[in-house]
Amino acid sequence: MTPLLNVTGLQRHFFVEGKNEWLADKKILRAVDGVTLSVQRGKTLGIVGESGCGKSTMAKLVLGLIPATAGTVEFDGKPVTAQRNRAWRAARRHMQMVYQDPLGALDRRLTALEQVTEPLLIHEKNGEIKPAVAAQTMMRAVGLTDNLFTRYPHELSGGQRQRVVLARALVLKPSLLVCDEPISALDVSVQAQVINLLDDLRQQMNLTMLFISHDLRVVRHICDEVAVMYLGRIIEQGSAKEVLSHPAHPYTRALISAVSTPGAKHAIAGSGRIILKGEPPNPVDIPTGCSFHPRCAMATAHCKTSAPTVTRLGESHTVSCHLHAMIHHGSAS
Amino acid sequence: MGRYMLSRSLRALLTIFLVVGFAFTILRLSGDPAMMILSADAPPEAIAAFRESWGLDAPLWQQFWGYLLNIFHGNFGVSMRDASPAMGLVLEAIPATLALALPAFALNLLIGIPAGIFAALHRNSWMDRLVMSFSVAGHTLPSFVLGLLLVLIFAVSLGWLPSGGYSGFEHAVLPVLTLTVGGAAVLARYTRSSMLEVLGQPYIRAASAKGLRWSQVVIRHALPNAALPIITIAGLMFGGLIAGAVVVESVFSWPGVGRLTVSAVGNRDLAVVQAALLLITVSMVATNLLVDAIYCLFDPRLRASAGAHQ
Repeated sequence: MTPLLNVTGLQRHFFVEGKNEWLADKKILRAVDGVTLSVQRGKTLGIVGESGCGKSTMAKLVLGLIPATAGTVEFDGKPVTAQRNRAWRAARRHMQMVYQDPLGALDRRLTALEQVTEPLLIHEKNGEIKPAVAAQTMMRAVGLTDNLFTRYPHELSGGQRQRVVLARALVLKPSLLVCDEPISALDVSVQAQVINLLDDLRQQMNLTMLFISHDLRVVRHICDEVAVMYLGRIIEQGSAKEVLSHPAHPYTRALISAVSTPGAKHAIAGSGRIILKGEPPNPVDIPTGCSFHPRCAMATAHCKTSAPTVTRLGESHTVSCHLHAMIHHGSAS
Repeated sequence: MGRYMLSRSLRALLTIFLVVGFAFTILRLSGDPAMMILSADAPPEAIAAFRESWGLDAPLWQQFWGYLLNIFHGNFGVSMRDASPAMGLVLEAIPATLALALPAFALNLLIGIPAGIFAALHRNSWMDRLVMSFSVAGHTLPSFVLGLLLVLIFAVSLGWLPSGGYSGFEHAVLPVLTLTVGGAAVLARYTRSSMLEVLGQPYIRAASAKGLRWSQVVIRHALPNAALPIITIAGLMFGGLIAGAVVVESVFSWPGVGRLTVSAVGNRDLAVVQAALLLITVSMVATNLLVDAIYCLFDPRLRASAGAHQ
């Protein structure tokens, strides 16, 4: 089966001003630096990583909202470009996005119903069902009650706003939904509701999802596969169950050990809590060798000079680490 | 909406009262009209008689009370110079002021707002830099310098247009041009920054990601949201223009409210200054009320909160 979404060698570099703007002191920020991944139809891929590792840039690249520096994105067998022509606009109905900040993503001058109706007015002017009726159906499906339809964004709660954003994204029945940290702006009590809603909807609508998050518990709950990003690269990838229970990369292990789980002592048996040293390095100045080596407790001299290649560990589990054999074996036993 | 406008109106009345009271007091404390009008060499008896006949010898609060009572009877006092009704003098000057203000305001809007939108949509391109360079130049050049420059070029050197006066269309061209350069520059700058702020919002990206044409994104989502600060600035600008462009009217010897006020202040012609200030205040306050009303139309949050919380 061909995957719905196929990303190959995707790169996005930004030019940033150096300290001296008169001397054209431009530096390259490698936000996304050679990402290859694919998502099967109906599956959910989680992308996890710290802030600034390129997750949100990935989301925009996949949707063709910004042009890639190199590499390709293929959606349903067709290349996704960032040229905003008629074809690009028509393709929008098949790929939609849910945003991190629901209040910011809504036009404050429009009522909830108007926000959800708008995509239909763009793409289904001559549909069989009236746009407003279809929008109302979708809004009920995401759990918005009728009395909220005529409210403005500032009159809704955070969870209700995110439901409006979700309804707006799903009203066109897209095949791909990109969620960029959809719950990080919400209260914890509301997070669970929205996640469960997303989980239900993706099954009902057979959605393919790219789920970007830094919350591993949520990723474990909702994702079929996981890709762990560090400084614009995917350092470990595989089925969610495999990666989260048998992490092979020291960074993945550190992320998992940072999750506090009530009841359980630690997610990985036999390992203490791993605390990473320092901040992630500046993506303008990516370290030589393995980009994780300055923060890696196990780094050897080899890690500082040579970049690890992708190693296949199982049927659906890959990692980029020189020391994977030792670690993977250790965590499995 | 109704309540919102009612509270705004009450506040407007208070503003007018404060301005009138302030002007009244300052004018009487800052110089003696008797000295100005009769000259400092006048015999003391003449000055005393002048003060008595204009009621200037009474305590300040009594004068103010009398002034307020007179206003409510529609009596705004008479000019100390020629005893003609003060409000009449001011009202006579209004058509001249409007003859500059209305075309200048229309041109400000027609040039400033599109220029700002254009610059924002082509941010950091050479076109943006060009528009903004003109805007900074127009903004920083004082109107008396610009006015004199225009007179030098078009009246003195080229002889195409008259340098001053008020008798026909060609006399209005230079003053309107002077007012337009500054006003359009200010509006262009505010429009650009307001548009840039809105264009950076996530809902603009979201609107584009829905599949809207970029022109539709701008028209349906960006412009209405960027309009609020522009309306504020345009309102203030309109109020200012109605109040009379003091400097420009003086440069071009244009017989409008601004020039009348300046000469009346110089002469300590109290009743005329007060009448002019009252009119200016009322027009400024009225413009602000209008802006508040327009705000309600553009921003549903105001409409709702005005209904819910007041």
